[in-house]
Amino acid sequence: MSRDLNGTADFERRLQALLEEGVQRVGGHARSRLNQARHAALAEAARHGHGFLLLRAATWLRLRLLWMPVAGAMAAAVLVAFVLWPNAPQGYPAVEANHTTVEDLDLLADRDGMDLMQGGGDGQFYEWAMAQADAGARPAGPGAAGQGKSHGARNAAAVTGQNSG
Amino acid sequence: MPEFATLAPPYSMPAASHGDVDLSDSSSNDRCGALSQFLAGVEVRAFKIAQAALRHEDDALDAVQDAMLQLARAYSDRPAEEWKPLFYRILENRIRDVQRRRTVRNRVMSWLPFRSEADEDEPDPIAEAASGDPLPTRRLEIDEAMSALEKALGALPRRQRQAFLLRTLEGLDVAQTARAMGCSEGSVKTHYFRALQTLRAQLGEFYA
Repeated sequence: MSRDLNGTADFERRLQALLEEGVQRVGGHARSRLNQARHAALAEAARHGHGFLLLRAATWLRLRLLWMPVAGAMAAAVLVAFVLWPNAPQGYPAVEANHTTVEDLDLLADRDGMDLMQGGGDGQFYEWAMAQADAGARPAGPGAAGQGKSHGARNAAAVTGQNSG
Repeated sequence: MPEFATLAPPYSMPAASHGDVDLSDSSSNDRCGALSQFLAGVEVRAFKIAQAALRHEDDALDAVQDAMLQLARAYSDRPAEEWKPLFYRILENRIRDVQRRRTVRNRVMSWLPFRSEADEDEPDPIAEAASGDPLPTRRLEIDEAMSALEKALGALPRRQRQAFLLRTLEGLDVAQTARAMGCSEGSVKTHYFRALQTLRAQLGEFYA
């Protein structure tokens, strides 16, 4: 077994030497063409290296140009959806708040309202009306009229007297 | 063959090897320098491997050139230590392509009535002349042994021949050979051992 292995190793060495001899004996014609092929490959590698950078830049630009209209279309679609969406949940409170504000402004700007606040004759009328309302709300009876004369009722009587006078 | 015919003249001159390509970037220069060194180191052995498979000089040169171009075009930016297995893998694919084309061509040519042996490529005696000049007797022995070896290598199954040449001629280790062949390390060992056995059985008389 050992002899066989040694013989195999020796055989391998001889084959290797023979193959090396074959490499050394490659003719000038073949070497020249291999040289040409090598330089062609190097030129290709250089061209590929420069082309690779250009390709990356072109790809980046192409992607940008591709995404710009897509992004624009998406933005337009979102805008249209926001404007035209009929059941926008936050839409109504905002509109109501605006209405309220406008109505309040109208009330404040109303001339009659300002007179009311400044304590004109109508103010005394309303005070009397409130007293009447209080009196009407109590149960009707003999004690009720005498005992339960409230501050509002007295004021109402005064108002009545003043009005009648 | 046609690819070689289309090469521009500047490519044959090392001083103007890059022609009109501007290599201003220093890293690109380093890369090209490393690639040039690598290709110069493997090209002759690759040619011998291709020649052992194809048994035709021009076809072997075409296969090597295609492999060089493909490596430069697609894998020159890979780490340099990956180049050798990649290169030999590409080369093996090119060899198979040439063999397929040759098979188809032979089938077509066999149907042509005017085909004769004179149509075959005649080897150029000047091109075939060896560059070395050993003693005539020694040279005759080497020629005979080499001829027998080439014949035996050509008769080997493809995977066995590939494993044997990558290990013995190119000096790749088992792992690199496995990457180049696209198989496991165990398969490489098996193919190599079987190739060695076959060669020993056929060439034993030359090494007795």
